[in-house]
Amino acid sequence: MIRSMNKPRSFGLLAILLFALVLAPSVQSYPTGISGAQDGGCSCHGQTASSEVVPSLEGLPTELEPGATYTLNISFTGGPSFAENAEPAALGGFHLWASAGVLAPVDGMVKTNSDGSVTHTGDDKDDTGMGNDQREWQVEWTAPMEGGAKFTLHVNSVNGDGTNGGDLWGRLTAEVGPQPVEQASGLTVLASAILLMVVITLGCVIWVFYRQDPEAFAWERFWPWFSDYITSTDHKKVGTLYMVNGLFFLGVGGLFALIFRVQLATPGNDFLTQDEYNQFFTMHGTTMIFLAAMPMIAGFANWIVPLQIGAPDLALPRLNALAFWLNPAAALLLFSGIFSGQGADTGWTGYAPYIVSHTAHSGATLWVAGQILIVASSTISGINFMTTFCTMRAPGMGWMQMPLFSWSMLIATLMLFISIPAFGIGLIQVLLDRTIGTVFYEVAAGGDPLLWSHLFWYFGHPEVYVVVLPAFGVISEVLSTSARRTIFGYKSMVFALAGIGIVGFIVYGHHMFTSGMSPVLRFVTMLTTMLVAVPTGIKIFNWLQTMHGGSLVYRTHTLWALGFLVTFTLGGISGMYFPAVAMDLHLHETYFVVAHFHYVFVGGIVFGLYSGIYYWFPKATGRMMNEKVGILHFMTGFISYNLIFWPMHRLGIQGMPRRQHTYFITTDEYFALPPEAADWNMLITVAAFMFFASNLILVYNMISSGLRGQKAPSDPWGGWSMEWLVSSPPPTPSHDPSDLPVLEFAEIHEDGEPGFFGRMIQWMMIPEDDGGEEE
Amino acid sequence: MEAGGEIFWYLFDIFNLWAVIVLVIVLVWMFHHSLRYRSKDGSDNNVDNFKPGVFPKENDNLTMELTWTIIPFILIVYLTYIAWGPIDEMWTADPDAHEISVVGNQWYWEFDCDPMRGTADAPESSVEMENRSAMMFYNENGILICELTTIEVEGQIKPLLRVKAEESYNFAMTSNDVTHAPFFLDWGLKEDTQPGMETRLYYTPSMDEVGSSLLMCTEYCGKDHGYMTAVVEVFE
Repeated sequence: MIRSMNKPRSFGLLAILLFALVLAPSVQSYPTGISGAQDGGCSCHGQTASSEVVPSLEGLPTELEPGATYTLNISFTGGPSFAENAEPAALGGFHLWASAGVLAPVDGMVKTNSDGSVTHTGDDKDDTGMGNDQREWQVEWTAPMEGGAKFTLHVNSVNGDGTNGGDLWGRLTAEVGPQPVEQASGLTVLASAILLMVVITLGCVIWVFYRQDPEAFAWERFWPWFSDYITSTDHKKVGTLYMVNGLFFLGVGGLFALIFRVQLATPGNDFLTQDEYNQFFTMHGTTMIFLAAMPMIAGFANWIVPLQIGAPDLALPRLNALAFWLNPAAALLLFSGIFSGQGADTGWTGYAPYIVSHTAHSGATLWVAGQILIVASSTISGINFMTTFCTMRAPGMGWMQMPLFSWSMLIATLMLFISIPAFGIGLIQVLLDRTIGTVFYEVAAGGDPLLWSHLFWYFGHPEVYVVVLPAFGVISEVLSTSARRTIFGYKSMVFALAGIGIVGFIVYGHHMFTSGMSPVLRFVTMLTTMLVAVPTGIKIFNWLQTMHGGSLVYRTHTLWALGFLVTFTLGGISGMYFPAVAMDLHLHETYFVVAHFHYVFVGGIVFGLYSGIYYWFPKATGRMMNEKVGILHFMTGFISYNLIFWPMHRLGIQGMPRRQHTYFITTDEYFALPPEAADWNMLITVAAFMFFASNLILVYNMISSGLRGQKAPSDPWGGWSMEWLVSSPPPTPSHDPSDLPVLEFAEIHEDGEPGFFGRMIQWMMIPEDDGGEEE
Repeated sequence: MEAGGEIFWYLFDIFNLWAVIVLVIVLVWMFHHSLRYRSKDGSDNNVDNFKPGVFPKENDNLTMELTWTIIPFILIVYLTYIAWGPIDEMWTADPDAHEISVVGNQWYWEFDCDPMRGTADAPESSVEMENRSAMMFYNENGILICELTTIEVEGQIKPLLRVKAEESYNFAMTSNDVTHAPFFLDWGLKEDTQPGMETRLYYTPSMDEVGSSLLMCTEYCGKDHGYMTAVVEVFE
């Protein structure tokens, strides 16, 4: 059935479905329902307003006196009521809305509606009023105490035949007094900015296509070129898709942050409503972690892992494409909520019981559904990487000869496998609670108020390591290659990764020190959390010692790696304040936490990945990146980044809570934040705009260098791992399957017998009677 | 007044000291090595003879690696040890503590100075109610130790809880709907209020902490989370 359908038709169907999916919630959420009576008009007497019917609204003053009461005369001329009314009993009707002040009837001809507007009486059978027997009405309007008002008046001219056919209606708007300045709503700004980003991204794609060969440019060639990318199962093309997806959502997540930073720039600001603000910080966190960081890491892993371990492709290429394409679907689900005005407002942690309470927005259901797709996507791509590591290493490459980036991906994948099922189960329970009325998290029905927190943080804390370990791997590669030295203590680096992987599972309780969790569990996780600092410290000291005796070549990726060392050390150190329960009771849920995890997430992960972009870009595109623009990106990015997050430590200690729509400055009545907090917040907002702008430099550099940069040799930085063996850009398949590279050794190396784990994995992977890897 | 309690600042200063020491070591090390061992002319000196596809020669030193495993471990043990002590103090209830109930609701706080009234455990005391918005609780000696009234915060009427300095309090907290968390800014304390379970905080305000401070909600609870405030005043 599917086979018989041709491609354009299936794409057309998909496009219509996606369009409908995006549109459906926004239609329903229209404040006055689908009909939108005030804007759309009264369709009951004809679809559009008629120019024949001329309404008039008299009695509005020229100078508005606050609080005064005015009598308004409503009348109309023209239409069937004058020309051809068969039964002079039903002549017409009206409906008047005022944006401010109070409308009131003066006689039985007019009544007040529940929304404060007024209309004529007698508009249906139960209403015995005689208000529809005339063409003139009187109402009273009390002016508001400040500001002006806007009026919308609809009048019906009726032909009196008892049906709506042939009736006509007219419309009039009027203003009185001073009008408020039009304010941009946060959602409008967001929607326009995202739309602009989509247009720019598509423009970039088309421009990249055009610049590849301007002479031979033809629109007929665009679709084959584009569809080759979006239907490919090649690990390099899927990796590119992941990267584009990740960078796009990094931008979207940044937009969320910019918009709510505007809200927080001054105390008591009302740029965003509380509802909007809650959705914005929720979507900022969700987007950054699940739609930006994870896809970017998957993009690096896709690109580099097969090249680095000497494999022609990933083990399961079709699963790889599936794992990627679940991501855009998940993104649509997550975002369709916010454009209905009822997006998830639960925070990225989605704490129950709030998420299953009736006060949570309906978009939370879509958020949960989208997260389930993300869980599926990461699990599928994890299976793929795991299989690749176990079965497709180049001949001669034992476990302890894998490059460190591959090791970090391996440990990250293992951690993902052990942690993400808990999250998936929690999400499915919440989805069932929200849709079919199960009571997993309903406290009144005996649910445990802490169950979600346990499930979420059992996943959530290892998740941090899942995204940060690959960044560690990138830094190991970059520092070693730049310093022209073998990474110091390769073995202890691997053991430290594994140590983080193990200890990372028993620390999650430090997210719940104030939750009322059992004191014993709080105490145990205090000890283990402190312990995580040891393997992390080993990694930092090994990186530092790698430079010893080397000959460090300064490139953009080297600068980002050194910048990473500074910021990640700061992030690691500030993390040491939380396991001390007595300090955490003050710092928990304040901006100190925000500062800490942004030093880890941005200063650790994003800086590491930027370093990786500059490092592997020549390999991926065959073009060198522009170093001068790169250094400009580093300088502006590093400085503005620290300006954003360093002051947050201070705000946190002063007691500014996170996730709050505003903050309170000390007054004579009570003590709160010091007045300087407002200045720091303004600085943070300004710096946030600078940081956002500095990242546009990277996008510019990637596009312009990708098209016009110098041709790159196969090993531009002089690295040792196997990705530098193949040409830049790599051929497809990446390594020739009939002539796989064999890992050689600089020192005499005796092939050891595989150890215990090696034997276990071989036993699991290749059946004894199969006789080989080929089928 | 200053945010954060006495225990917080005691630990914070010690942790800060060690944070600065570790940071200085890392930064000096990084700047020294990255400048001392840089390629002077920017050219590529292949120190360890990297060749693509060849696993490079080893570069390690067990003594050094053990050094920076063991020394940080000792530091961690020390920091854990000093962070351990105050926990006991924070989690131990004074048997004479006066109980105050705290109930979180979307999106307002409810306090009660005398949650035990009418029960067998009720302390010898007297409670005065002034209309519906003020409650004063006197202990058996007739000393005012808890007062509940209202205060205006940014144009909204919020509860004002007044407690006496150098008197022990035991906050019994719960929630009627979702998770909330009162943040006693001046004392550096917070604890979630969970529906269906009771959490507790123990505190004895000192004379230094006399004055009023804002109490905010620090566990995200929905629309008006940012405005779910109250004021706590310590009086002499």
